[in-house]
Amino acid sequence: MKLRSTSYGRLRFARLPQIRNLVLLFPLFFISCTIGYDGTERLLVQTKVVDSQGNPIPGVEAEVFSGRYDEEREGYYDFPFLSDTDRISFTESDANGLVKMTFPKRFGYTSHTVRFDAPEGYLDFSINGAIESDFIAYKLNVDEVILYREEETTGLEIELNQQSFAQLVSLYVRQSAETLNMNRLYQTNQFYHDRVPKNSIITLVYTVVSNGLRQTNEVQIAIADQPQTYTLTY
Amino acid sequence: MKKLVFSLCIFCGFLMNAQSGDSTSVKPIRLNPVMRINGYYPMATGDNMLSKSYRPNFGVGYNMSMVTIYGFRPGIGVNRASYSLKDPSMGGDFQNANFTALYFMASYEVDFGSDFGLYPEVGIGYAWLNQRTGSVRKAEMEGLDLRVGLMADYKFTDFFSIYTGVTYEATTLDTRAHASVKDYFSQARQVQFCLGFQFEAKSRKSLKSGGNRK
Repeated sequence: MKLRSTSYGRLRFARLPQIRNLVLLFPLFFISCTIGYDGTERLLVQTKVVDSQGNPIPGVEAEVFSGRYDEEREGYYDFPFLSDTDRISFTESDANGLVKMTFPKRFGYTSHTVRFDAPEGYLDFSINGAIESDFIAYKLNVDEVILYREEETTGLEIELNQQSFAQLVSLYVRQSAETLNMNRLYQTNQFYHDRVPKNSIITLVYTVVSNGLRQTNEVQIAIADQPQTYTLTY
Repeated sequence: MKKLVFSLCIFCGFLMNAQSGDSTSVKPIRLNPVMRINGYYPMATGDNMLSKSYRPNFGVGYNMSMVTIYGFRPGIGVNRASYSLKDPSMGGDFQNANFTALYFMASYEVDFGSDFGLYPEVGIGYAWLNQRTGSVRKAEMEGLDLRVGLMADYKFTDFFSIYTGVTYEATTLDTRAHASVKDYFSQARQVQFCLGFQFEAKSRKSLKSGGNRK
């Protein structure tokens, strides 16, 4: 019994350096645990989902995704092509069409997409690539989201006509001046396309960078009943 | 370091010697190690993320005190509670939340001269709120933690008690958010109902003979 006790004591003593090393390495477990989101910063999306007549639409599923933001090409937002996209928040519009979501900012992913999955008969709507400057005092400045029916919209294609060394870095449609309904267009080759409301005037907002200078311009486009193509020269 | 350990040994020895020397006189400072382990139900209250976005599961707590000073027991403690996601719209789509607090506390025993005792207690500390999906820590908040509680114990032996009580815990977490939702994230309020065991390293009779129990 005494021998066993002694051998146990030796064994314990012999293992002391390993135990010490384990203790010293223990903090590394915490260092390797990276946190994906900045829990101290909470961003707010609060808006109202309405139809083209201004009537609230209840039961619209809304969700927020984080996206990667390419600083060199401001206009390139890789959602929905991003493989490690995280859905950060989701909810449904209430009886008054109100949607309220908050979510923490994701480290290294400074672009957010808010997607509205419309009920049957309406077209889905996305605010693609909402960046930090779109959030005023941590709130996305979108008062109203208008969901159109398929028959209320027509196609708009934008053909790019580069006539200078300027680089197009951002392009999106603002549906009206009163409600900042951003619908950032996504790129297919050199064309941008979207559905826009018929018989309306939409505002195309684009940003170019030339010689290191950034310039944002707005062009108003009158939309008729039929699909149309607009050539953007820059 | 050796000097510090030596000084602590001398100090502890002095305290123990002081207690055993004269059992009839009042000792304002006594060595009186007490350890408590409890399980608790953390009921989040108010209009905040813990209350509205999560539902409570279960919590465990541990605190200990080494000395009694004029009837007060200063000590340190830690508690940890887990919550499950209820509403992802405001808190974010993270499945769990763990609330951990590390605190300094002081309790005071109101002894009724029987096996039953009451302990009002207060505490101040630091708290962390981790939001997780599975085992992956996604987001973290932290801030100042204040607590006030009332415990009642029943002594089975001089060394072992079972106790229950309620604690109100108010936490202010560091947050940057829109003014309309800032309090939702920066404030956390919990009412905790606990049940646990208390172990004392010293006989209560010997402490009572010290004369400073009310």
